[in-house]
Amino acid sequence: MNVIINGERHEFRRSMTVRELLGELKIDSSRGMAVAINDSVVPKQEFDRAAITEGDRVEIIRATQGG
Amino acid sequence: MRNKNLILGSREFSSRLIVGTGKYRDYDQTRQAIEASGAEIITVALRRLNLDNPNDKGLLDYLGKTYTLLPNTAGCYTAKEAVLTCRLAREALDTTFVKLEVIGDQKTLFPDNEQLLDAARTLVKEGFTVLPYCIDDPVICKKLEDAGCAAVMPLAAPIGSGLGIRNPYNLMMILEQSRVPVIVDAGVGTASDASFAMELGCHGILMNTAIAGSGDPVKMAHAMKLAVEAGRLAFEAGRIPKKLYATASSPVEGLIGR
Repeated sequence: MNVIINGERHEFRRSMTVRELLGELKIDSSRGMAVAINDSVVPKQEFDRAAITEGDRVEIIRATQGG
Repeated sequence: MRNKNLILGSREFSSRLIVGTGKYRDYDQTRQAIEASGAEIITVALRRLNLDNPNDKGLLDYLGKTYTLLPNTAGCYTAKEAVLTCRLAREALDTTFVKLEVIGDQKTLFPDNEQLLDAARTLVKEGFTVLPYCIDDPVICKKLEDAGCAAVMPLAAPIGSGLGIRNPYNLMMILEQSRVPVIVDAGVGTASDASFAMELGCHGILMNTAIAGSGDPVKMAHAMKLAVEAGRLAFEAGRIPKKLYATASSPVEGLIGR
């Protein structure tokens, strides 16, 4: 499956849940971060259910310095 | 509105200074400056996670104490982008507070009124506490207030310009009409600018560059804390009217040799 994550193309052997994707990318989901698939925010309690499929655009964000 | 504290939505804050966390030399300086400012609310931006190093320490790991985080939508040019950013912020930071910015022009960083109002209406409906960065225009401020924003945050001068309070008369008009707090967001250059805005009756000030870009950010943060407090006290006390001619401070009776 091909997906765009934070603007870059990634290829995976199978479709997966958000939780599985975060595991694959070694991202600690307990820290202040959030995920959107195709411009829809995925609530944390949905991470185990929400599926990422071919062609999805995924945004993974965190808080940083700003005014 | 002459409350002792700054009231935003259902929350109350004793500090009337809100500070940004951008442009500092490093996280250590950021932490020290924020502490010196006495601010309880700090702004943060939301950006894509670096997938090459996803778990490296970030700003929030370096801040010693707990602050109320005010995520911004800096860099958004459409209501759609800003609304998505706010929804992500709510999920990431577990807050409904947002500093709503929808930029209309890259050179001036002035807001796009139509997009801003559109985003504000959507976000208010979704339960956000919306604090919009807006132009110092009483008409747009009124519309934002009517849309249900928890405050209006007119700029005093372009973001990062340090030009100070360019149009105090517009701020006075906005203050006269507003039923929500008026927070000057952007334009402050030095402590006297902050005091001046507070003396006009503004309920708070949001600044970043004036502190982070100064020669000694920790010292300037302290100066801004004092300036905001001094300006607020002077406003509450009520200044004397301006007169063209002198009025003696010492008694005119009993003058020696007359």
